[in-house]
Amino acid sequence: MLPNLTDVSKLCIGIPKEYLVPELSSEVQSLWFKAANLFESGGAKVIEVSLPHTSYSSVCYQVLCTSEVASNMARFDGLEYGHRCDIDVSTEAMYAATRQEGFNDVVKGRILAGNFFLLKENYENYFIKAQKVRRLIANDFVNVFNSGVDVLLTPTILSEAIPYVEFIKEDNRTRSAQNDIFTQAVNMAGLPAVSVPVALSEQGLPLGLQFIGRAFCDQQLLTIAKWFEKQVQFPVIQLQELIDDHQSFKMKS
Amino acid sequence: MAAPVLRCCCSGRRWAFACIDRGSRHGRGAPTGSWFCGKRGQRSVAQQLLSAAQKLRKGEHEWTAVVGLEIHAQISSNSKLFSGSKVHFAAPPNSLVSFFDASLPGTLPVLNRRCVEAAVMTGLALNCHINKKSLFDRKHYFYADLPAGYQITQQRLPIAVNGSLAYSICTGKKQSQVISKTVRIKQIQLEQDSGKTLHDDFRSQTLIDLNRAGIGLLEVVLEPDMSCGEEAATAVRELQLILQALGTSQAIMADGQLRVDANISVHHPGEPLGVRTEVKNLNSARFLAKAIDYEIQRQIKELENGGEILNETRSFDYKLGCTVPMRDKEGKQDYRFIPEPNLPPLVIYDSASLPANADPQQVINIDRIREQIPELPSVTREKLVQQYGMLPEHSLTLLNEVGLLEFFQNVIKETRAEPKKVTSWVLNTFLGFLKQENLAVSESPVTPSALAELLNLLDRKAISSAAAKQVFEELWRNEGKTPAQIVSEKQLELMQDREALEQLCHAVMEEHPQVVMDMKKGNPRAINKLIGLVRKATLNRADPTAMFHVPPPDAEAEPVEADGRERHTPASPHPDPAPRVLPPRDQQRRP
Repeated sequence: MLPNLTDVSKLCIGIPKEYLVPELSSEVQSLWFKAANLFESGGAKVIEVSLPHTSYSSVCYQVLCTSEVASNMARFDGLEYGHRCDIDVSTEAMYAATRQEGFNDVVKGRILAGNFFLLKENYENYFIKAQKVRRLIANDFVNVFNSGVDVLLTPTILSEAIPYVEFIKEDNRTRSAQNDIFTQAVNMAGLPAVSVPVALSEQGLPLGLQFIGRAFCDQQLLTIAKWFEKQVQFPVIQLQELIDDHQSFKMKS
Repeated sequence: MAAPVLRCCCSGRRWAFACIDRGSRHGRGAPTGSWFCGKRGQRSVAQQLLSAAQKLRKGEHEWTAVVGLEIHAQISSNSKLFSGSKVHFAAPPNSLVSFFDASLPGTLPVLNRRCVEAAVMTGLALNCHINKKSLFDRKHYFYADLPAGYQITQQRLPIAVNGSLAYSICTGKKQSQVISKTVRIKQIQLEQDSGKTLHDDFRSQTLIDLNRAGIGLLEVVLEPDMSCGEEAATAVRELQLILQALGTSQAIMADGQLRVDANISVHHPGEPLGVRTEVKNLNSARFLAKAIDYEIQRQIKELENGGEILNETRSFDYKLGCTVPMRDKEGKQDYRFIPEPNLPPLVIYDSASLPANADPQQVINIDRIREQIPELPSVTREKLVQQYGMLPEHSLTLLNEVGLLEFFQNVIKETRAEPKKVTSWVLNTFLGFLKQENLAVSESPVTPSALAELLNLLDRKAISSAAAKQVFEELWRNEGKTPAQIVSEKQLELMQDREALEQLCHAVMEEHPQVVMDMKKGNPRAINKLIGLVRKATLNRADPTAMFHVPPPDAEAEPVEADGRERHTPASPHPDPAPRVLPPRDQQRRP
């Protein structure tokens, strides 16, 4: 069980200025600032911090992610498990047709891009460079935490939760470029982060905020998130009530 | 002017390709056709053609060959490199396959401590620098017996680097000149073995056995410091002995526990290295040497005929005795290496860097492993030379034949015979018989105890050397008799009755006055003839040494002793060489 935090006055909350992007919805933005004020009114120190390499995270992620995808998907060759095509003229032909049939365009695109980045002639210019950029991104966080910040408070995505019909409209790449910007860097830095539902939008859809903690300080992060969750009283759907209602309805009928 | 640069190590046995001169302009006249791809008998023809070609091209450049090796040794461990599956040779197909070995999605590698220790110990024994931090990488290629589509290896930063392997080569007519050589070791890396693919051409299907998939391998990369097949084969044999002594690999080539790929190129001395080819599929030391020598010749011939060498992978066809391009390795492979994201850097320690609170079960201490290194073959050989006054080449043979050293030591333990005599009997007689019938030491019908007993009989002069040979032959037939039984059954005991021997000697001399005269004139053959006659008269039971003690009838000259040394060679038609009339001073013994 996580300890209950009663006093936030000794905490230092960082607000990364690079995360205040033009695309951020006003609803999320005002919620974010409200949350910052909540900590401040609790006695915490809230300061603006800088993660200068944030803007490179998307392109860096494209290289590293697709490279790993290309490698990880190599096992789906139709031999041991999964889909296998009907072609059996040769093992190579079987591989090709199986993978052609089994993967969708997003996966195929990632496999092609990843293998391109890993080619001997491209490895230095793409993969190694992306690893170096990832190190710069990670160091941004190290510097911020070294300056005395305990956790970072950021939006999770640009807007309210996206309905499925909207989600499938865009291709994956555009989608991640748009909406992953706040979660990508933290994952590349290898840090713990948690998204907490805060309020419902005008449309009645959930809005969330994210906390990012120091490496291996997951407990501190979750303790703060738990305190915050208690303060905001997000209107969680009470599943137990629904179940009870359903059962009483069944009994009546 | 054209000094022999490309020298084969055992020029006596193998056909020599020393100083094969360049002759691209005259190359058209050079013999063509597949010299070595045919039957064995064609070799001598090729040799003749070669030497003829050499004479034509005097004064031109010679070729030198450069050979490097990549050796894969299966680590001797209970479980695989990254999974808990058992390692066992010849288990039923696909019976030793964990989810990880079959690369099911979501499975993760867990590094086997034993494999790391084996790599460190092997690295130390091969004088390597041990990297306290090493990394794992994925090497990608699609192959039916590689279920993940990649092999986990150590491409960027291997566990051990910059070592050396010393080996000795016997040269000269009688293979009695021992030359020490060293090959540098570039690196030793830990990696996974692949599964096995079996092609069933009859039913046109491919069968996969994943029992081997994921077994830990040590890839030992030898720098191109060798120049012929014999050198490469000898270096591999030495490595094999070291691995076996360490227990880090059983290293049996026939079982695929030790696999060798060779990189070969030829060039003119002083010029840049030539384009190299890689020869795979080398699963015995003999084929390794043959394949390399064939490939060197093929490249020289190709270049002399104005052709070029392609950077390609070839395999050795042991039936045809030649190398052929591998079809499935055509085209350049790009392995698309990537750091293995599921394995952190491998960090090991020495006593100085070991953290104070480290759990000994969780860390590897290089210094502790160094303490556990057993006696290495080079030291064993050194000891044999010192302890038994053995010749270096004999110590080489004793270790090179599997089980022979143990056999020798067991004989030594049970016999009073001198070590030199034991060495001679084990290396000449015993090994000669084994070789003749193509048997391993473990298959020998003669036990160490039986040989020891036989040598005891010989040592106390109960039988002659010739009789001992006869007893040995009987023992070889393995009819369950002891040497003593054979001696008494066949009446092989030496004549102990000195007076009778004297009488016999005198009688023979009287019967052959001419031979006696010859002897007195100093003809050394004459005394041998007399000895032979006496032995014939006694059915070989007369001791030739004792005969020297027989005073001549006129009893004026002092008797001359024979030197007690004998050489044993099974091939010799006269296994018991005639004693020398005048042995060197230092070998004389006073009664």
